[in-house]
Amino acid sequence: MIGGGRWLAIGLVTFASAAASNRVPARRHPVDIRGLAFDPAVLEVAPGDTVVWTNHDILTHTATLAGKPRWSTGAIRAQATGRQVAMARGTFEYYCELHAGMRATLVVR
Amino acid sequence: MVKFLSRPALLVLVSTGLAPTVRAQAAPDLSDPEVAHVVVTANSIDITLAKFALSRAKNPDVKKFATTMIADHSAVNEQAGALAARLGVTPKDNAVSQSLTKGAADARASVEPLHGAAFDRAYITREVGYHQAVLDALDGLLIPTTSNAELKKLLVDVRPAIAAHLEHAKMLKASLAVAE
Repeated sequence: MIGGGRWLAIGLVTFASAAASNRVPARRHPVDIRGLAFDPAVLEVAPGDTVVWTNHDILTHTATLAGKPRWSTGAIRAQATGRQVAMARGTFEYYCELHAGMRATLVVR
Repeated sequence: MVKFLSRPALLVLVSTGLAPTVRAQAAPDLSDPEVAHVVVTANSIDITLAKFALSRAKNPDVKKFATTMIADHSAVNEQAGALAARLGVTPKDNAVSQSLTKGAADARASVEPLHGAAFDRAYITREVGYHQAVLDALDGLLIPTTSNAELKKLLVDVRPAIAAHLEHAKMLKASLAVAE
């Protein structure tokens, strides 16, 4: 016979395992920077996902979000990459600090 | 083996003052080393003027524009230099480069006496004209004339940046006019 405490423990472990198996693993989402534009211009991700920007231009760029939360990849030189983990949910317009016309949208849901 | 051929080019530097002595003349016959020299010269001219603008301009947006010009045109020259070295090409001075240099000296002389808002306006107005002319030169002369595929690709890759600079300068020019 199994005591009540042990049943509770097994139940908790089972619940935890189920929750773990249902959790979608964090993903990586590529964004290309080419011709002074972000591609895709709109990207949808989940909290915890990582966005990776690859700069195919010969100029340095950034991917920067003003306001809250504020983040920036910092300078991404030619052929280099920058990354950012999406945390807060919402729809955010980010831009390149060096080229004001470069804008794109990140949707975290 | 890389070949650098001279080809006649249609000169379309007719829009705004890239080089008064070149504008509306017959088409120059530019080889790829000469095109490379034009590219480096054109970038260096804008870097030099932007550095002066950083020391003279008052408007923060104009200063930021100048900073971007230094960063972007330096990046292009870095790439052009690396490409020339890889191809074993020595950029060759030519009439277009000399005309650009002369035009740059004239431009510097025209903005040098100015200060404050007057300088900001003159600098940005000059940048509008310069980038429009460079864009025209890329489309009508440099890209069509270039034989080497890698050099041509560099020019094609540069084009969006020049177009973005032009739009940025136009926007600034309009905002400075409103602020008057």
